[in-house]
Amino acid sequence: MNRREFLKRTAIAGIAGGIALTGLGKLKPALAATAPVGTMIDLTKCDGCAGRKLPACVEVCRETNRDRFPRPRPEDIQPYWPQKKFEDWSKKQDVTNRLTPYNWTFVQKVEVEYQGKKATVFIPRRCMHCDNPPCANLCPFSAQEKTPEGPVLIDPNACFGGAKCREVCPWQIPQRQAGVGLYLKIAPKLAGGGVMYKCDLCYSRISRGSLPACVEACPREAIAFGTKEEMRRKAHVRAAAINGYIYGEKENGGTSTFYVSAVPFEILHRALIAQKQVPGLPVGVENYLENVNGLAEGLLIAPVAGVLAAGLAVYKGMKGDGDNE
Amino acid sequence: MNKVRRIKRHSLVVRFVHWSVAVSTFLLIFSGLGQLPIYKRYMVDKIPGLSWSSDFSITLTLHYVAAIWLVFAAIFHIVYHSLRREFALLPRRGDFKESFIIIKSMFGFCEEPPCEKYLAEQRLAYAFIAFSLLLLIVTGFIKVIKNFSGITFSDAVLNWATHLHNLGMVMIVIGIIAHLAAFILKANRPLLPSMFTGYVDADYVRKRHSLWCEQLQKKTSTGASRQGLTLERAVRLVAGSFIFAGLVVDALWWLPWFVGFMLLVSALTGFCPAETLLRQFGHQSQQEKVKV
Repeated sequence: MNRREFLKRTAIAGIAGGIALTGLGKLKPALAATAPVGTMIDLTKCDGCAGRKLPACVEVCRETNRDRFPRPRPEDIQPYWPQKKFEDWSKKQDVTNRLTPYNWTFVQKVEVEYQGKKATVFIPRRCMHCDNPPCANLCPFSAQEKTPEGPVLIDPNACFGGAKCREVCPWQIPQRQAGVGLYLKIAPKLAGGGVMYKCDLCYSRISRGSLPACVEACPREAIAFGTKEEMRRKAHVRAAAINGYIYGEKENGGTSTFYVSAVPFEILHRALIAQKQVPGLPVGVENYLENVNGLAEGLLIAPVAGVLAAGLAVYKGMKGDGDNE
Repeated sequence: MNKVRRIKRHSLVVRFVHWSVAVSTFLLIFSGLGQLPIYKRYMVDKIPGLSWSSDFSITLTLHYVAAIWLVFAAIFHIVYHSLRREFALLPRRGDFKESFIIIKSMFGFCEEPPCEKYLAEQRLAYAFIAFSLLLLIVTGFIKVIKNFSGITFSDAVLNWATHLHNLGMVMIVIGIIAHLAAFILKANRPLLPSMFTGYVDADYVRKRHSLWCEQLQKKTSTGASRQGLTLERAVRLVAGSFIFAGLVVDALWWLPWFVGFMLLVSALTGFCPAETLLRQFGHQSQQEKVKV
């Protein structure tokens, strides 16, 4: 057992003890029995639903979640004082070629050149549901939650719309709508900006045992859903078969979404950036919390150092001339 | 005593802890507020020299570093004064009533009661600030640990930690404002220099802290009562420090084993090298002290 491991265990033991004492740690049995879930997206199968007006996944996502879309009153949509701007998508609900509060998944189309051949790749995009999501961890009001099943959820009743989650997300997934949410009840002119919206992997559907709507709707079975480990295996098997690449397994410290592509993701990322499409696919992107988690060790040592230093100071004071009053 | 012009009120150690807590708390409040996305929105990051304030990765790092400093100072403070049995700043029964009288007297409505080293309202202010800081530290630790990968708390724990942390921030800001506002009153101003130099004016002490003054006089007449560390406590101090050192420093992994072994040996045989060494430094056991 090395030092890092010891500190981690100490922290976990301390917190586990604390939780046991408060009784808040009782896991709901239903959740404890559920293994984390994930998806595998096969880019060699997705064709962006050629011939249809809208990709099936996008269309069904909009239908499924329609009731949960924001419904702001026009008079509530005000600039974010002292700024002049505000983020309002309520008049652009038809936009389907990017993420918006009214469009939680979309399909990117990107032209690439790989091994001397030109190819068109279609990439369904939405929340990756990270293992250690910076968006949820860094939310100043804990309005986001990483569920034991894997999906990351935003509570629209607790969200203040500061959009910090979007900034710390490597893919800028959450999207803001002004004129809705908690901030209207406090000081809507001065603070808050609305509510953030994104994919929740159809949490209510998967809790009932159904598939996420996009998975069910895909005519080419390009999106698979199952336990996370099953999806990881599936992605590796598929990648080995086509001599391809995986994205989402290591990115941001690991996610619940595994993309498989015959074209390297570095090339896809460069092409997306060159064609001014967001979000990109930065390979190996580091988790926002990586840096401070290194510092956390110092926080666990600080109390020990405090005890030792105090002991030393008292000892020296006693040996001294009593000037230390 | 009557010739003395100034009296020592705060030792170097106390001043170090005070300013450590003050500076780290200020940094924590500034960087903590930066965890709300406010510096960008209210264009604080447009102020020259503060462009970094809207970068969460910078303010979060600053928050962690300042927290390390604060936790160190807070734990040091608690252990240091507990070991020295200095509890004069802890609130007592009747402090609320006495504070009220003291504040009334500051405005000339009545006579101030005789006070010890700390006034009743100072004891209450200390308790309020200490409680706020402890609340912030405990909830802060939960918030730090949740950021590790592989650790998930229940949503309820996180919500409590978050909201209590935010509440603690409001409390500490109120506490600091009240603390500084005390110096608007002229009666309190002679206290100000002691947090910089360590000394207060002797006339002030005679007038306002008559009980403390009496204690000091008694002490000088009987000679400084030095309560040295007994041999028993010194041995425990060494053993405990060695164990911690072994746990924290990788290369010293064998130290806890060694300490455990030697404690067993000393219990069974009476042989203890630490004891022999500490005796050389002049420590005496409890029994020997009583005899003297």
